[in-house]
Amino acid sequence: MKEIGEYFKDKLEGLDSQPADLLWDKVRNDPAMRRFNRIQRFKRWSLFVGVPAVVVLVTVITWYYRSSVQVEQIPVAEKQETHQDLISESSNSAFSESVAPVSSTILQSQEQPAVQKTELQTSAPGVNNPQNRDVVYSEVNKKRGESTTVKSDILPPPHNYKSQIEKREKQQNIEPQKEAAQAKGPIVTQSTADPEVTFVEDATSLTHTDPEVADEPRIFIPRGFTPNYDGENDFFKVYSEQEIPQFELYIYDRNGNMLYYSKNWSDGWDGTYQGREMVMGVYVYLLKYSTSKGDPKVEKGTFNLIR
Amino acid sequence: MKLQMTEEEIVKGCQVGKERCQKMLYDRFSSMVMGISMRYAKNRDDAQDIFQDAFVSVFVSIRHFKFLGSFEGWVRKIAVNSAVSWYRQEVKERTVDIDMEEDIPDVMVDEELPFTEGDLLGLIQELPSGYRMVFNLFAIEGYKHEEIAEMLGCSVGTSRSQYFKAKKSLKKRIIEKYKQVEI
Repeated sequence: MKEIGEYFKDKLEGLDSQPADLLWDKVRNDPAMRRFNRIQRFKRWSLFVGVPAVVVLVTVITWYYRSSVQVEQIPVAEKQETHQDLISESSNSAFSESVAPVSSTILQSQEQPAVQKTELQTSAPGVNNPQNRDVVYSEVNKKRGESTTVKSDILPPPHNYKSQIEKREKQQNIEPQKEAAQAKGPIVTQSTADPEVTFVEDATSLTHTDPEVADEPRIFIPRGFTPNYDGENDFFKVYSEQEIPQFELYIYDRNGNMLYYSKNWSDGWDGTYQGREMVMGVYVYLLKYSTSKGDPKVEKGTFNLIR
Repeated sequence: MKLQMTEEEIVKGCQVGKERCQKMLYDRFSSMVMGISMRYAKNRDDAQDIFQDAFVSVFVSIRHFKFLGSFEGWVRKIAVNSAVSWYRQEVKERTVDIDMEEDIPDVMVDEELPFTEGDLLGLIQELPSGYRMVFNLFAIEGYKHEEIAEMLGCSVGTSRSQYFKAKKSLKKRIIEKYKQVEI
């Protein structure tokens, strides 16, 4: 005899019963099941697709952010480089060509007149007659003489002035030959085979067609500087190849406090104020000076202090 | 694609909602769950309802399974819970019973009786729903009356009296059946 509960338990505890086949479909298509499976599938996919997508997105944003920071910095660096290029040597770049007149004017005042002859003929092709040419030449020479003498009085020679002259001379070595050719024939041949000759003509004719540029000091104001005592761009200063008359430079922070003032054009701000190093950021300059003719000029703008 | 997967792999597959693993799990446990459902239901139709509820619950809450204890026991418990909740929803007929606080007397039967599992299952299914629930939960699943009372939302005394009445009823039916068998 056995207790009836135990009896049933022994018999029925391990009861197995085969469910109908269609029950699996019922279970599978149960709304709760479908929702659960959909959510889990979405989670799996978001893991496979979402994570790489986020990684790509972050990379792109980082890249974009970095490149935008670089864009802000690059102009500063490039311009400074260009400026140094200008001082050291005039190359073929557009910027240096536009500066070329200054130096080439100086040069030409000391060169043989032959150079100007060449210019004359290229810039005024109508003057073919040797006599006419002489007239025009002398007139031009007079003008030129005036302007250049004025300049050479004021101008301190740029630090690498000599090397520049040497370069120029090298480039213009062809001039005597050219002159000889011109003395015989009435016209300068435009089809000169030597590319160097063409270059010289271009450079000199620029001077000629744009003489006004030479009247004012050609200055360069950098967009930024890095006062870290590494010898490069440690000062915010106005760069010029010649003295800037009646020079006054004011530097303010963004709140309008004046941090620096100088009347000496070759001095620059070292990024400190009352002995304290100023923080990285944007600062404002106000520059007053006058052209060589005495016209007052004011330039203002911002620059970056980069540490 | 592995054909033979361990139970743990299958469970993990189900936890991330892979249908292939769900099918394997179903194939493995469906007859057990169906057996439990049959015990708690009046008939096969009700058993199928319980079965479906049980499996959906298994699949939906499988992500909470932390691999503590046996998975089979976990499935079994879910099936029982499904049966209980099915009972609470579907069965409105509540037998009012006098609470029984004293111990339930034993009801003895001959263990050599020639009854098959199917016969006994039929006897259980013929019981009134309240009796059947308590008998299943107490005698077969092994819950205490306090737990059963909480599960079914009745008093402990009711659970006790229903269990006693279920036993008496079963004994009566067994004797009737036994006589039929004898004849």
